[in-house]
Formats: sequence, structure tokens, C-alpha cells
Amino acid sequence: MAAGLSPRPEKKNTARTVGFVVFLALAVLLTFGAHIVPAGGRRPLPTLEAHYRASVLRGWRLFQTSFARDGVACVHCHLDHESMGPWAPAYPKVEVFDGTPYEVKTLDQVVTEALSKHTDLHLRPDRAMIGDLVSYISWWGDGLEIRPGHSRSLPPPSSDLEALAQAVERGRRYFESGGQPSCSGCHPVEHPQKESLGLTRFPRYFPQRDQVLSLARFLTLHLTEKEQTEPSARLVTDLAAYLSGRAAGQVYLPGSPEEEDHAENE
Amino acid sequence: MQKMNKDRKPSNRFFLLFSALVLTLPATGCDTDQRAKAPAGEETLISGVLQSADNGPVAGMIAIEEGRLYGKNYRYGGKVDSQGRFTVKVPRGGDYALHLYATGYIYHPVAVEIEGGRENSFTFSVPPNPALEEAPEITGVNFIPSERKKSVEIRLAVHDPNDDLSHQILGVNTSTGESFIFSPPGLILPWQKDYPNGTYTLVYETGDRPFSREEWLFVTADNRCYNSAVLGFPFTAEGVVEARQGSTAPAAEEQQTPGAGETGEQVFEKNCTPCHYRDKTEWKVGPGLQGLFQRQTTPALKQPVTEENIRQQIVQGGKQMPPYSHIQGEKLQALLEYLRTL
Repeated sequence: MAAGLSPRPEKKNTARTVGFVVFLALAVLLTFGAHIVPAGGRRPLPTLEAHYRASVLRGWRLFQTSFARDGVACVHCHLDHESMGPWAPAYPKVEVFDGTPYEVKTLDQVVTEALSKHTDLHLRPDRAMIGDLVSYISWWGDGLEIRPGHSRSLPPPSSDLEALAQAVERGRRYFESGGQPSCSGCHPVEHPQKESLGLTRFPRYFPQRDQVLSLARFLTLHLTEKEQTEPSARLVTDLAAYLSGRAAGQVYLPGSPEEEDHAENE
Repeated sequence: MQKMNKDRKPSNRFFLLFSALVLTLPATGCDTDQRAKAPAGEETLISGVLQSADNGPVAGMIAIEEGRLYGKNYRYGGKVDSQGRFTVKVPRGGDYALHLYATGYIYHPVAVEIEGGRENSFTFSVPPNPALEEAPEITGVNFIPSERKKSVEIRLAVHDPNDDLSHQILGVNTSTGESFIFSPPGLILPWQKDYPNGTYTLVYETGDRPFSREEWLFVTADNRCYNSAVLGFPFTAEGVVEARQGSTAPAAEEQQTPGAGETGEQVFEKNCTPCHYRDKTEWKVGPGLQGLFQRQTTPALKQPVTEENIRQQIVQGGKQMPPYSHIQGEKLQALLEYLRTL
């Protein structure tokens, strides 16, 4: 009979302790990890794709520049940059300012309304400015979980989530059977775990258009080309709500370039 | 072959029990919104703390809409005390919109779902108003009782320097926990956003309850989110509810010392590290700042390195650098002192 080869008791205890600590860490991470910004926070600016990074930096400058006679810039009210983190991964969602309609909106629309309300620009929307501000806001959400409708730690009103669910449903119906051909004709709804539309990475740079585009802006351009007519803002919002819903629970990585080129996506 | 030791030691049971507890934490509702748990069937309360950007408590008032934000269904409200605390009772759970006002601060609206039968507690932070001179004012308050009708007509004279008042001409009865929206002078068109300066009215039904002016707080806000002073009895300058104790100009002071207690290093960490290395001269997004004050010229704009030039660049920005005009006073000075140490 061979001599016993089992570890000595003290080594067994050490291994057990280490295993327990690892298990505990994994349990905590799996439980709460989706809501925790990864160690080190957002991906550092220098590591981002160049066009997106440039848009973020322009947006940062705009965010801290006043366009109002009273000298007030966005940053004066939104002093805590970190609190902006959950914003971008939450849109489209219901957002309402005093005097604006109660409805589901994209982040582009909300930025437009905010500029109209708080500046003296009297915009006919300056797409470049809005796009850069959206890029800047999106960067603060880098690495966070996509949670449609949840831009704060507070529980959103149930009526807001209902309105969002209705927008998602309208968007789904259009995706599956609207247009000629339908979206799903070229973009089949695949297994939920396989995501080929880059839905977690808006806004990002599209080389063929030489622009950084948010999801809403991309959809507007794409549908205009496909249908030969500009889509309504409502349709774009509904589609964006549906597509963002498909990315729910995944990590938000704005600006990340596509690894696989899909001609239909460009 | 040696037999395996099958004795189950206490440490194994503890391991299993603790792991099971950790894994079931989400199912038991580990809230992140600090809602206190109360037994079912209890009152539905909305409570919390209002604080400023430097986490100090802020006094003021709260007005609560039932239903949608800006649905103009103001129903409940109360005072925010000098410790920043408020508690308002509402009849049931559901969707509510909370509006928090403090003298010299930007008002804060939040739409939230409230759970019925419990205390729902939150913490809110409001930034100081950077443009106090643009805020609206309540220039007069009058009470006209009608014993026959068992009512009191309350009239607020309101003025906004930019003619961009919002619908938020509001009163809160701090004893009954009610909030009210005042009626504008003249017709307001459905698409009209800017309400006119003038006298706004509320007919308050007293019933058999004696009317007490001391119970009332009033506030108004414009479409830039600037609110007036929160005004209480005697509805003159003496009636202004100060946001911070012992301070006559809390917002102005806070503008000079936002993030009170923040060191220069903390300011740098929060604002500068995304673009600047502190321990290198290499470029990150902007130039590395090691040895900045030992150099002849600034790395990007090639200006002489003086405290004034560095201060100006921080506040006004540079070629691609955003302006940091919101960093002022002692905070800015602390940052400059820290930059000297790099």
C-alpha cells in the first residue's frame, strides 16, 4: 500500500481559506459587479479611438463653457461628473424639463432641450455640438452596465418605465416588420448572447461617414438612405429604445471600434 | 490507500452557511436607495436630507407633485429644517415628483416611485446658484381673508429679471403638509413656457381651521432652474429661510469654497488626472505637469510660468483645455499650491 500523500493539515486549512476568499470575492462581484465601475473607472482617454476621443474632449470643453449671458455653463449645475455615469447607458428614457413634453427621448434630444432651456444659443440644433456633448456624457458611463430607464440610483416612476416599454414594443414591431425590407430582413434577431450591431458601443466613429455617431443619429442617417425619406423623431426614438433594450445588462463601451465590419451597419 | 477523512468540521458548515447568505442577499432586497423598512400598513412617508455640494445640510422647502413630474399636480410639501431634514406624509405609494428649494441654490426636481406603507428616505444634493442676480423674486405677499367663504386669498407679487418665470409659483403649508400652485395673472396658452411677471393668486379653503400665516412658505422658480429665496413669515427680508445657518450669503460663500475641505491634490485628482500626468512630463491628453512651476514657459501655450498665468489658464481654458471657471477661491488656490509641489 502506497504511503499517504494527503497534504498536511495546516496546508489544507490554508488552501481552504484561500478558496473561501476567492469564492467570496466572486460571489460579491457577480452579485454587485454589474453596478460597480471597474477598478480604475473608465477606460483612460488616451486609450480611446482617436475620433471618439476628440469628440469627448470637444464635448468636455463645451460642457464647461458658458453659452448664456449669465455666464453659467453645464458644469455649474452638474458639478459631480461621476453622477453623470449612469446617464448615457440609461437612454432612451422618459425625460422632461419644465415646459417640454412627457415622452421617451434619446440623449441627443435631451441635450438639445437642455441647450435650448439653459443657453442663449437659440439653436436650430447644432448637430456637431450636440454630438460632442453626447460623446462627453457617454464617456462618463464607460464600463457601467446598460440599464435602460435607470439614470439614477433612485427607483424611476413606474409610468416612466411603462412609457419606455411601449416605445420598446413599437420599436420592436418596426424592426421586425416595418420598412421595405424590414430591419430584421438584413439584421436577423440572433441569439440574445450574440450581438452584432455594436449596440453597446454608441456613440462611435464610422469611417465610411467620417463621423462619430450616436445610435439615434446613426439610425436617422441609415433609415434615410434605406427608405429615401427622413424618419420621424418618434420612429428613431422607438427603434433606439428597442435596440438599447437588447443591450440591457451588457457593459457600456462607447467609442469602441467595430471588430468585425458589417457593411449593412456602415 | 488512505481513507478520506469524512468528519465535517464546524468550519465547513460556516463556509456553506456564509456563502448561502452572500448569494441570497439580492433576493432579500439589499437596497441602494437607503429606504428605511417599516411594517406593512404603516404610513407612507417621503423623507430625507438635503445637502449642498460640500455635503453640508441645507434648509429650505419641498413641494411634491403626485404623478408625473411637471404635471402641475402639487399636493404635498413641507419644510426642510436647518439640518437638511424633511419628512412629508403622502396617502399611498406610487409616482411622485419631488421639488427641493433652498435660498441661493439651484432647485432640484426628482421623479421617483414611492413604496406605500413605509418610509422612503433619500439624500439630495443641490448646487449653489452661480447667477443669483438672475433669480426671480417674491416682492410682496398679501392675505385677504373671507370669513363668509371660509377662505383666504393669498397674493404673491413675483418678478423675474429675465421674464422667464416657470409655472412654479408655489406655497407650502408646513402644518398641514400641503403644497399649492398659484394661478397666474391672465391667460396662459398651452404651449407657453414663460410665465409673466405680476401677481399670482391662491384661494386657500380654511374650513373651520384658523388660518395662520406662520405656517406658510413661498417660493418661485424660473425656466433656468433658478429659484427665489424661500420666504416665510413675516414675508419680508427677515422671513427669508437661510439655506445655511449663520450665513447671510451662503451661495456666494460656497462659490468661493465649493468642496470645502478638499485638498489641492483632491481637486487635481477629480478634475485634472484624466488629461494630465502629475509625475511625468509626457503628454497624456494634455502635457504632463511634473515640475510645472520650475519651467520657463507653459508646455502648451508657451506663456511664462507664473501663478497668474496658470490661474488664468485653469479658469479660461486653453487651446483644447476646457475652462474651469467653477473652480474658484480657496479651491483654486489649493490647486495652485498643489501644482507647485509637482
